[in-house]
Amino acid sequence: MTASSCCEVRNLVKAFDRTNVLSNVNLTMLSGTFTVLVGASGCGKSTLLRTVSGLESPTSGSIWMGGRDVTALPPKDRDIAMVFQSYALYPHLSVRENLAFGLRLRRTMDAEINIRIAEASAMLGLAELLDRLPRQLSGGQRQRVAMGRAIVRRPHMFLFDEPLSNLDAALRAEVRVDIRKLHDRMGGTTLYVTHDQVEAMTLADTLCLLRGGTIEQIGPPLALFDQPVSRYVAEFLGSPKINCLDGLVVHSPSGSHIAIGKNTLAIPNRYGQLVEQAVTVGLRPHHLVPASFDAPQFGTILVTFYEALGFESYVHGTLEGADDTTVVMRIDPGHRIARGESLAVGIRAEHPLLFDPKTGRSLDARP
Amino acid sequence: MKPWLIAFLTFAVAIGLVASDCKTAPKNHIVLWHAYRGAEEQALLELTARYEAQTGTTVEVLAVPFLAYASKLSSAIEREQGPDLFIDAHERLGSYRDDGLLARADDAFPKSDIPRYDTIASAVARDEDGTAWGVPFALKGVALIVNTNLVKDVPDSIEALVKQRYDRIYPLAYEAESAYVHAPWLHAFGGTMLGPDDSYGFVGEPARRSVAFARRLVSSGAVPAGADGALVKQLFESGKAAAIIGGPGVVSELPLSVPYRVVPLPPLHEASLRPEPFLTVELLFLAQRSATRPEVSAFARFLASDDSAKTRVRAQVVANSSTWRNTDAIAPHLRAFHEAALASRPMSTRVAMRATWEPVEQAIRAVLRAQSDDAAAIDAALAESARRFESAKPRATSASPARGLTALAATLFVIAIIAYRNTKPRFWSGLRASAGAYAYVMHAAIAVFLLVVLPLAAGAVTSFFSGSRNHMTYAGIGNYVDILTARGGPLLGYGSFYRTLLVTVGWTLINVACHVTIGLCLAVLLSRPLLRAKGIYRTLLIIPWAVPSYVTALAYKGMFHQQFGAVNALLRNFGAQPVSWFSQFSTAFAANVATNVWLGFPFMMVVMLGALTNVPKDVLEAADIDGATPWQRFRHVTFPLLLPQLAPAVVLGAVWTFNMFNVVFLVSGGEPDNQTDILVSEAYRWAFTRHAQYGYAAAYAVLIFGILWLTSRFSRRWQREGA
Ligand SMILES: Nc1ncnc2c1ncn2[C@@H]1O[C@H](COP(=O)(O)OP(=O)(O)O)[C@@H](O)[C@H]1O
Ligand SMILES: [Mg+2]
Repeated sequence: MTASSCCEVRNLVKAFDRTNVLSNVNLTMLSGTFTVLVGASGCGKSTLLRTVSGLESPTSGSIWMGGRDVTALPPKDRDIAMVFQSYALYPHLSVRENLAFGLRLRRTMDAEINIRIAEASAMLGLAELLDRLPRQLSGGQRQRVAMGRAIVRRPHMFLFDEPLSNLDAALRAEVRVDIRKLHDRMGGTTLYVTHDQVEAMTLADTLCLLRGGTIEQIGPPLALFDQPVSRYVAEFLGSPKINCLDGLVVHSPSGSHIAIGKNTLAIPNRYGQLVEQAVTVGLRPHHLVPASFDAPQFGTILVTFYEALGFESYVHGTLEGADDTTVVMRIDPGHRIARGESLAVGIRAEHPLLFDPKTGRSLDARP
Repeated sequence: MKPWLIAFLTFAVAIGLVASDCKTAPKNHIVLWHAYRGAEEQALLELTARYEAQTGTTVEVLAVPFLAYASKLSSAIEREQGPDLFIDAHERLGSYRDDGLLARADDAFPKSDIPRYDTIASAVARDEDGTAWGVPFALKGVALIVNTNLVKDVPDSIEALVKQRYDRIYPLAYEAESAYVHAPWLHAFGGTMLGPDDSYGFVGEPARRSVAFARRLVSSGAVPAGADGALVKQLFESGKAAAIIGGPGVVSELPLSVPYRVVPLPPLHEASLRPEPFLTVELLFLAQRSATRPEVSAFARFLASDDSAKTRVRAQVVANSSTWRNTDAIAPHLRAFHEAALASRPMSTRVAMRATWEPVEQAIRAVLRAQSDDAAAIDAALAESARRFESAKPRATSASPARGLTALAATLFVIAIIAYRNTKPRFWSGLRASAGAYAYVMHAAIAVFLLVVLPLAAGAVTSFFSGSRNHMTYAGIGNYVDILTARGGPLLGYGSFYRTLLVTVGWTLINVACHVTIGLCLAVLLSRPLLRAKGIYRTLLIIPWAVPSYVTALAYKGMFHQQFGAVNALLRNFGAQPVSWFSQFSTAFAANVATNVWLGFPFMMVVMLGALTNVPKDVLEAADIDGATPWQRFRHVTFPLLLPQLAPAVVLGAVWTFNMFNVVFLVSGGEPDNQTDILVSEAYRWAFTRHAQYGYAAAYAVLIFGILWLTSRFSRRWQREGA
């Protein structure tokens, strides 16, 4: 354990009724970093977070905080604060008392409590709401109170369990930014659970993608996006989803390429050892562009659907000569494309992502 | 037709059918009521069948439970629906006759028949003018029943009997604290329960000597203290009592293994008169509507005939003297009971007699349980009991109609104000707009009116009358004045309204506090997710609620018995002194509270279990994260969230407890000296043991209603403000 690590999860296993929900999870959070746990629903994100908080105790493995083994400690002795998905405000207490609750239990002086409440309510814009009861607040306001309750405690570690999932989209984008700003200002360590990849990508210093109770990949968000270790990671991150095409690596005197049906895709020579092997080619929607000089034609798409979002557009279609595999491509909003049109597409990518079709693992041979 | 009209007509027709059904009394059909069971009932049915076969008359025999007998009878006869003929105790003759329920029985019991019955029986069936009001039927009294294994020759005096010493066996057991069984001692010393002109008889030398005698029996250890009928019987059956005082009922249920003999009570060595027990003569009464029906008289003659007596004597002590002269095989114990009956004293038929039991038993209890047996203590107990008898007498309240009218007007005024204040601005137009809806609930409204509002109003009206049942006079607010001024005594004196109110309020507060605490603790324990076999515990804990409360109350009364109760047995195991639970206020009150807590906590537990499931799990987790210990979490989060559901349950529980008649009446029975009585049980005593002062009792009831109504209003407001 390094000096700057705030929290560490070691060999964690958690089972409910003999089924492992988490198996052998290892995770290190450095002091002051923002770690996001992301994954499909039911993959064990909340369970991992609750185990870190102390609300659940692990079946085996240990949790370390600030150099101490805290596995056996109850939540109140772990110096953490948590924001729940449902906010979990005390319904019978005013906003002020909700904020003060944890401080009072810790016998903080009244003057100090007032200072902290003033500070937090200024940060979150709660000043007018202090004397209301939770049931008199809107969803967004409740969410801010829940964050306020965490902030006033000034803990070493903040835990968030999908704090934004009950808000509408516009508010969600706004609060998302606020949360990151708060984190930077408070300087605590944050562990944040979400199933939303945009939140995950934008908030995280370290992104941890869980799959079926194990960590699929962990690292900076862009590393996961650009160098996914598996087709699962590649498909999970990015919207619209990455296009996956079945192909065969072919070697010819002019160089290596992948045959996708009748279409061919040139690849760097270093994939040479894959000759005659079936692969899955991952092409993100922005890797496909209308064929041009820079991007010579790779195939033809028969357009089945066209989405214009204003700042960009998506074309859904089937790739001709490749068993009509469906693909999505991103184009600039200036283009006008109609359904039924045929579109010649080229590829603008330094290197396509290649996966083993059986295991889904990345075949990327880069050093 | 309009729906409300249909509803109303259906209702009216139903009422009419019910009413007309009971009016028809065909010729040659006789309805007979009795309270017999077992062999006595068999004999009666056998005779009835024989009579039906002989005459073609049809007889409908109805066995009415003993406890409900008198009240059912009078209300049924007043509505012309009761029996034509019924069997009841002679003590009731006076009040039945005064209430006009009876027909003369001169046809069924002509003067010429007098010699056919035991003198003692024919005497009570006739009034001073010689008019017969019933036909002598059977004799009921007590005698000495001895275990012949232990007592070979019955000693010639009670003193000699109790001087016998056995190993852990009582020489004599009887209901020492019952005035009925104490009466022979009183009579032996020359006393009576009711003196001339309805004066109190339990005074002076005879009373003093009788209680001193009883005290010696108990304090010498010869007689168990505080035994009730069931215990006396049980002691005898198990061979733990060599002799008991009891009636034929005890004998008929004895197991074969106990050899017994019945003899009249032996005399008291130190008293000059014979210890005559009370005698009850069962009479055949003709209901007032049978006056013009000779066939009813004929049937009564048949049942009371010497011939029928031969059948009846298998099961009861018949009043026909010739039967006993016969040397036929009659059970020896019945013969002995008959002999004892002839040496007994018929119970007084005066209504005032009923008001003597309570003060007499109070005096007996006070003496038997007193720490010392000096004469002063006995005198004090007797003086107190006489004072109670006097203060419970109906009073002639001066009833000025003006005062009554003022009270009525004031009441109406208050009701009007309340109604006005509770009426929303658009009340009347709203009522008119939803008249159609009201038509649909009309039947329910009528039912509520008949079953709730009418009796309530009738009770309230009764409270303006004073005097005993048969001599009610209008008293205006006299009863209320009497009650609220503590009948002129000290405001917090024994038995005063305010003292009883204080006890009632204390009773309610302590009980509800215990109910809530225990209910809450159990609910919290039961709602723990890790607890195994939760369902079993839950079911077990609800059982006290499921058992009828009087069963529980009687069980607890037994458990708190000084000598034989489980509680004292437990105390003795731990080396503590046994406690005489019902002889001091504090312990008697504690026994009541224990019983009622047992009865009441499951309700709170169930309410709280429901409320606990409404406390969100994540809020509790948030408190954990915020640093709360389990206790802080309960105190600051769980409990406040339970409050909204706890508050109404507390109000409900308080009202139930405030009126918890069963427990107080059955466990402590108000002991000692009515100190543990609460308002309802006090009201009951005014109605049923103290000269049947219904008006006075009704005034108590109205006051109770008022107190509860005000409290619930205040608590509602308090809740609304709290929320
Ligand atoms: N208390 C529990 N008892 C049994 N199973 C549970 C419990 N909590 C969670 N699970 C199971 O564990 C798995 C992971 O749950 P969770 O961590 O809540 O997933 P998510 O990633 O959606 O937050 C799910 O399959 C869920 O059904
Ligand atoms: Mg979750």
